Amino acid sequence: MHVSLDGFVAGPNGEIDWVYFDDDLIEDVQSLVNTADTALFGRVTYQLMESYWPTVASSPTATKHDLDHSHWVNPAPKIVFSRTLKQVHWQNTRIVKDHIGEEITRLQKQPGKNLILFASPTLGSTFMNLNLIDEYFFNINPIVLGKGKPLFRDQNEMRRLKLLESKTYKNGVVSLRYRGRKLEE
Amino acid sequence: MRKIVVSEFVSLDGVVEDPGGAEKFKHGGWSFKFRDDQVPKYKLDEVFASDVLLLGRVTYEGFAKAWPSMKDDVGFADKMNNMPKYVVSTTLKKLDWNNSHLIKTNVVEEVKELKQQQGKDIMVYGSGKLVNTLLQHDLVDELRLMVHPVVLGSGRRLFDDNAETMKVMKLADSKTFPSGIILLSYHPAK
Repeated sequence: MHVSLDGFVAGPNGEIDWVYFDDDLIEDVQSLVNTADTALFGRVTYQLMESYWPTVASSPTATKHDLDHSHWVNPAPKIVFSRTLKQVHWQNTRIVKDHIGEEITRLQKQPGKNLILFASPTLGSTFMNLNLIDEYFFNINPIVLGKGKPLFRDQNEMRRLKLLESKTYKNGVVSLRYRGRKLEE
Repeated sequence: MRKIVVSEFVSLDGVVEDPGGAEKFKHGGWSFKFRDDQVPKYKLDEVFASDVLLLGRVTYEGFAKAWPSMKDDVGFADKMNNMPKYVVSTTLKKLDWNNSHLIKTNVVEEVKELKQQQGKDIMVYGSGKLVNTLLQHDLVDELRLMVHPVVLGSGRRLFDDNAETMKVMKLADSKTFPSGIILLSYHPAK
C-alpha cells in the first residue's frame, strides 16, 4: 500500500501519479506479490486494475515491471468484494457480495500461498475491523497531499500492531511492515 | 536564523490527539503504551537542542496542567518549565505556565520574527492546527514524526484533511526504536 505522509492512498479523484517508485522499491513490491497466489480487491481498486492490467501485454510503453506484474496478476485468481458490481471482465475473477469474514477464513484454510489485498482502503478498513489482516505493508511517501482518499477510516477500536521491519529507500520512501494483532492492554 | 522543528507523536492512522493524557481524549495517554530506553534519550537531546517552545492553545493548556508539577533526574521537566513559551491563541486570557507569552494576532509575522532571532531550535510539539498554518506558510524547517505502531481509529489528526496545497518533502532521517516506534524526519523540498 502506498501512503502519503498525511495518510492518503490516492488523491481526491483517485490520482496515484504522486507515488514514488524506484527500481529497488519495485523489486521489493514484486517479491511481496510473489509470496501470494490470490489477489483481493475492493470494487474501486478492482475497476481501476481491470481497465489496465489486461492491456499491458500489448502495450508498447509497458515497462519490465508492468510486464512482470501482469504475468502474475492476469492469470491469478482474483476476488472482488462488492455488493453492487454485476459483471467482471477480467479473467479468473469472481465477485463476493457478503459474508466477508467467512469467505476469508475459508480461503485461509485452503492450501497455497498468501492472499494479498491491493490498495482498496475501504475494504481494508472492513478487514481490519473484522481482524482479518495478518500483515501490513505500507510505503510512506515523502509528500503531504492535503486531500484525498484516506487509508484508515471508521475503525471501531484501538488496534496495536507489531513492527516487523522497516526499510528506507533512496527516493525518500520508507517501507514499514507490521504484524496485525489485537490490542493487549 | 533559527529553525522551527515540529515534533509529533503520531499513530499509524495519523492521530496526534492527547498522546500524554492531559486532554481527556478517550485514548488519552496512548503514547505511554510504547516504552523503550531510547525514546526518552532522543526526546531529551531534542529538547536540549531548543530554547523556545511554540505551541497552539490546546497543547499549551495540556502542558500547562501537566508540566509544572513534574520533576525528573535528567532535567527534562526543568527545561520545559523554564524555557520561554509562545502560545498562539485568540481566546486564551490567562497564561498560567512559567515564562509564557501570548501570540494573539499576526501569527505568521510573529513566528517569522521569532525565527530571525539568534538561538537554538524553536520546538513545536502537538499543536495540530498551528502546524498546518506553519506548513502552509513554509515556516517548518523540520518535521519529525514519531510513528507509533497503533491504529487509534478516532481522534484529531495532524494534517488538515482539506489543505489547499500539496507539499513535497525530503526524507532527512529515519530511525527504528526497540518499541516499534519509527522516527521519520523531513525537510521541506526546495
